[in-house]
Amino acid sequence: MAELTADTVPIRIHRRGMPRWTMAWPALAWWTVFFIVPLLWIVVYSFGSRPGAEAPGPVALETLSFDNYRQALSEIFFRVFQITMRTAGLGTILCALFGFPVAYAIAMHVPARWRSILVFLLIVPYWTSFLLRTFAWRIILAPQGTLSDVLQALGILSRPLLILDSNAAVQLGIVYNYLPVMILPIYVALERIDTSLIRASMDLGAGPLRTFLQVTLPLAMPGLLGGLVLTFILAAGDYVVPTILGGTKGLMVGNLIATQILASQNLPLGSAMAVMLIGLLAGVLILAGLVLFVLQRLLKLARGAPL
Amino acid sequence: MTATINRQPANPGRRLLLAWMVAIFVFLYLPIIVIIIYSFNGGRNLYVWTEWSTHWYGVAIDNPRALSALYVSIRTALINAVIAVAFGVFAGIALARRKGAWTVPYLGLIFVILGIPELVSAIGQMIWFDRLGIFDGITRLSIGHSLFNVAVVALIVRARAEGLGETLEHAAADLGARPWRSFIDITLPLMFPAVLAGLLLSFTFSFDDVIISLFVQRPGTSTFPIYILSAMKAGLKGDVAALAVMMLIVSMIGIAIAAWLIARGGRGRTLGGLLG
Amino acid sequence: MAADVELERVSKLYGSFKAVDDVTLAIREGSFISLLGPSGAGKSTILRMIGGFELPDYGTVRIAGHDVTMLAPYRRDVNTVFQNYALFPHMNAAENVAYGLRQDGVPAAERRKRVGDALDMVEMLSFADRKPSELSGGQQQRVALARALVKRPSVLLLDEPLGALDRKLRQQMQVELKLLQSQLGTTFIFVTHDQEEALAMSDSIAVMRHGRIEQLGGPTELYDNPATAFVAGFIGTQNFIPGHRLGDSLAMRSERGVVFEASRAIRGLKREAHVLGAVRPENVLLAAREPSARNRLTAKVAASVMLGDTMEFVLTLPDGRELLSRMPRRGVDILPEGAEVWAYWESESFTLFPFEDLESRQGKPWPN
Repeated sequence: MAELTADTVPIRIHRRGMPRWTMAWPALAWWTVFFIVPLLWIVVYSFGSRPGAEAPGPVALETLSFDNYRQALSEIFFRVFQITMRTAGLGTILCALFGFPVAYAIAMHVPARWRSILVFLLIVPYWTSFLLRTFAWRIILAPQGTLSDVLQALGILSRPLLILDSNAAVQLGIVYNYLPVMILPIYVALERIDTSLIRASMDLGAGPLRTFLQVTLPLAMPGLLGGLVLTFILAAGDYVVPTILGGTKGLMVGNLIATQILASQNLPLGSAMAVMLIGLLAGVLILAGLVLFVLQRLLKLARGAPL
Repeated sequence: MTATINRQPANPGRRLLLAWMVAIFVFLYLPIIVIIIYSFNGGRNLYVWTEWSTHWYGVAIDNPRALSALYVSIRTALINAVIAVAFGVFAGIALARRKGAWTVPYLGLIFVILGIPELVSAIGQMIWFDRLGIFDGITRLSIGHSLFNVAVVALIVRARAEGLGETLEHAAADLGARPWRSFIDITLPLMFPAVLAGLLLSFTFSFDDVIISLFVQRPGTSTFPIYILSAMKAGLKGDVAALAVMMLIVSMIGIAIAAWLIARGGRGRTLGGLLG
Repeated sequence: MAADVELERVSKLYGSFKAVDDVTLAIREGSFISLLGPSGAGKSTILRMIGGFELPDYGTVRIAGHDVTMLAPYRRDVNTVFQNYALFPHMNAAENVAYGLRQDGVPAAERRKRVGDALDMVEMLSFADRKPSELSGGQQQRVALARALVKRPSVLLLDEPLGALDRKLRQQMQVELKLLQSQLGTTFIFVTHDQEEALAMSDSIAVMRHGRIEQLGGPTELYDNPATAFVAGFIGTQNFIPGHRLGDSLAMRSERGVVFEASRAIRGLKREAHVLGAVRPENVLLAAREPSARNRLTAKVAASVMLGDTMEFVLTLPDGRELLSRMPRRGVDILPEGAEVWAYWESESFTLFPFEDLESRQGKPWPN
């Protein structure tokens, strides 16, 4: 291959015209003004304090301090944070356990023409009113409701069903609402797997279980991890489910923040909690990224030593 | 002589798997079916089934507060959808056609917008709108709802533009079309299904939104879901269930058409990518 | 109508990968030239630089004597038939063909006439109202051709346009394209990886590899006098025998010590150079008894392959290597597997090339 000699003058000039991504600017401007700036304001407010009774405005910014964070870490709030993480974490695990077989069934055991219909059926409830679907559970779980009557008639319960307005109801609502969020990324990953790989594995003498563990599962890993992260993030920041199904006993961080801001008028404390929530979720995200990285490394190592 | 019939070996594992899948689908649709049935419950207590009746639908339609909330919701959803499409379509096309160093951080921002707890975004907007103090209720709601939806439209349009590839625009240029002509003659018409899907999705997402509305709303401009939420807190009656079912049907239709448009344009995969 | 196309020291880099590496090429007006090479050889990139879809990093592109290097596609008097036709799916066949004329502001009446003529030329007039999705691959191909030609470009670029068609249709289209080109006199630049297609259609062929033009010449010249072992192997089929040149003679000694005589050696071949001797299967003859030719080997028949009008014999040499022989079917019986034969060829059909590593190619070199 001959080198380009010095007398060939490079022409690295581009055609004149607008910068290449001008078309993406309006949206960026919109987001900057109405998304990024507001987020920065939350951070600023989180260092402020409640104004005195006669002072105007929702927040005093003359003296900035970490007081709100200190308060947010106090015992009551810390407990709610703990409960939230537990509820979201358990909800995520349950979604994965319930959802993986569904994604697997759709991707591997359903005729191709049915697949897009099933995916469609999975998305429609998720995209339609969160509020109403959550609310419907109040009808189902009501102590005087049909389910309660049936369970009593069957002798399973000796008294009316008392699950509403508790943490258990919130847990159910979380699993119910975020199940599609878990199933879809797993499905997408599974559907991408070339079925000939699975046949090849069987052909090479691996049984169904080994094929699943050594071929299918590793290939579905990115989807599974994506589903776990997405579900956890959405569940941990949820407000609607605990508000409707949790009552006063099923509190989550979302309610706590909303209460500080809407009811107690304590914008600085609410802001500090919001910042902490975001920090926590970012931490989870980074952790998930690290896990994925390590997993890929391990997989490479495992594959690198076939002999 | 007829050939022997080879019975397929029974596969209990597969049956179990499919049964589980059906069970989960039933679980997902159960609340929707329940709320539709109970909206026809004629009794005074919504939770206790008494008789079939369309009584509460009549009551619901006669409720002026619900109707005014509905009107706010529809106006908000429309303005929001127009904003989402106006910004999102161009961003989506740029993401597919003008890739560069900017693409990765830009997509990163989009995923932050889609993934951040709505509550946090809502608080920030409330603070910012209150500080600005220049927008009326509907404007605050429309802007608030549009942020998420611009990102949604951008992703839908990007998926379609990537799926189609750039050859058609090259062909137009090859035949003598200036860039703007090729944009109008070729790019935009081809993006139409994605644009329509984006419009419908934006409308529906705004129409169903609770959290942003709860924070950025002003007195007098409550949206329909907020009205339902406050009615629920006050104690649920059949008329709210009836309103809820009407709302559910509107958004289901919107979503169904949008999903169909997206699936027709690309592969089922794009749907999955949009979730969350 | 037609125009010359010139590339002068053109290079295109993708990062550090040289897709096109200092290519100079002059294409005479009205000629039919093929850019032939394996995928990744840079042939499509050259076409795209002539069309204006890629800008060269170095060098100059001229059409009809004008420097068009940095000109946008819509300012060039060049039209393209794209690989997958790139018909606008939301327009019917006639609208597709009319699109280019519309851009030039051709009046409606004339436009209608020219669209009709163009569709008639490719025998698609009765399909004018059909959307591309309602047309078969071959029909879409014809519409794409009409759409490119209706603008009467001085140069037509064809980017593997026949790749998606089945064999029969492809051969028919080859003939039609060739006829069309000689009628119109337009310069055709045709990209393909199919050597038979290039041989059948072109006035001249530029064989490309690693972003460079390995050899430029007419079909006969390339077939009979390939400049490198790569060209020799890429055009048609070759048997390659590695070995060393005997001094500066026209003979070589294979690694097994057998001496073969050639009639031609590539210029500049050094004394005792590492060489590849090449003979085409159709020049390898078989005999039951020892022939008098200087180049001869004993071999065993491994397989007989029926190719229609010819038979191909896969022979195994004593050292396990393979040799192909091809001959007309008439008068040749299928030889039984394992039959012992003599394979021989004349020195006139044996050429010595400088050795090069030709992995994964037709006419595989013998493994070392």
